Amino acid sequence: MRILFVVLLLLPCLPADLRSQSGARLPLIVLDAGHGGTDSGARNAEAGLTEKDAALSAAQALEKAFLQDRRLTVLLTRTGDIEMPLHARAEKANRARGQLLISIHTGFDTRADRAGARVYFLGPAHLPAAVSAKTVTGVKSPASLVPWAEAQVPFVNESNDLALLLQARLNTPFLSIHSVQSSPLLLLHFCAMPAVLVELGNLADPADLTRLTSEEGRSQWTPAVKSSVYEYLFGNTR
Amino acid sequence: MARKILLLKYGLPGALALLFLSGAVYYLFIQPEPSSLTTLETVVQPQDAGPAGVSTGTVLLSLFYPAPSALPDEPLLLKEEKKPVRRFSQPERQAMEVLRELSRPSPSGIPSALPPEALPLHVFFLEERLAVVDYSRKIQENLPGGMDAERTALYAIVHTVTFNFPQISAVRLLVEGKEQETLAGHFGIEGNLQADLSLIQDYQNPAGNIRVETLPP
Ligand SMILES: [Zn+2]
Repeated sequence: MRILFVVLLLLPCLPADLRSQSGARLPLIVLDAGHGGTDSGARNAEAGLTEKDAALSAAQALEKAFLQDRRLTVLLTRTGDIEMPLHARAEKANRARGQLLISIHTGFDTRADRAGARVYFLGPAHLPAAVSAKTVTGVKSPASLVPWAEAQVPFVNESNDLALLLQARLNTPFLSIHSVQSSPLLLLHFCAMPAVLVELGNLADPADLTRLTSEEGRSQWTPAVKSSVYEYLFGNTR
Repeated sequence: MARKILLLKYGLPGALALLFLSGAVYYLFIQPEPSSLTTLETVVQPQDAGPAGVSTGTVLLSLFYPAPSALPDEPLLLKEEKKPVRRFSQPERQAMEVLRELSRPSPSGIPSALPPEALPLHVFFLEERLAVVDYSRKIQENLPGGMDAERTALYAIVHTVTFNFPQISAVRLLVEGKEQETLAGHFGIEGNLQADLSLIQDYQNPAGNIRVETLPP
């Protein structure tokens, strides 16, 4: 309940100079490795792999890949195996004024058709009832104080765009044909920036496991995430 | 002749008195108390072996399980199955019982959305149509993980409570007496949770038999 009463200071977001080549200010993206500490998330006991570890490895691999390109800077919400509440992750991202947030998770489902990558965003149907009407009009609140639960409201359309790009690009390396889904994920509610949650494969699927755990596997999908983010932020993939 | 008179004189009133007495005994001690589960279909069965005066027979209730045939691009849905559950006159005790049953497989053999070790510790019905359900920590420790598993576990509880108790429209979930941010890292449980009909398989099928009348307005 307490977070319902906590308010989030949202200074008006100045548009970052995304196309600047001077290096003066690079856009910041936030990568959130899901779970951590006693919250292991999904687990494949046979393979000895937990979602919290797979998510952190994936976030770190992506950070490395992004930093090599020097087109943006990266903030990881967690860098170790620690328990971190969702509101603390969002607070970290919001304070840093990230340009977007990608929360990295994995699935675990033994059904055959459940492999691959899935991208989720917070669609209008899952916004708090009192604010869902405001969103569709696309009005970005100029108010400096926004309740936590409504932080994502002004960014629903952008989050949808980012989700569509990521899903389309990740389907190729993960050999899946999934569509973007809206889901009432708590972390996304709190993010004052375009935000999506990606399930990078299914821990129950042997091919997805390889994609997550080997260097070669990771090299298949990191370019897909990079090109989606570059296209979203800069309008081009390079 | 004298025997016939005696029978008429004492036998008939005696039989009537016996009938009256047995009726009174039945009314006072055997007949189940009227319960708030008035909309539920009662299965008439011999009295159960539970503690005297607490449990009387069984009642057919709606329990929710992960639907086996979800489409690939949809979240895992829930399926309603009716199950005879020990009947209790006290609604909160009845809610405890149906939630205990919820951790076991369905009558058709679908595994529960909840770990078998996850049991309700307390159930309180508060004013404003709110049920507070307190679970043991096994509900978090033994949940297999993943978004679908978390959501189906959550809504198996919410739907099982709100569908069977028309006086309840929302559920507050606690773990060992404490509020939690989420059950397993994805979906918020700090507020009151209401039924979500879009997560019920039969509800999406117009031919499905869904008891909408028990849902919150
Ligand atoms: Zn997760």
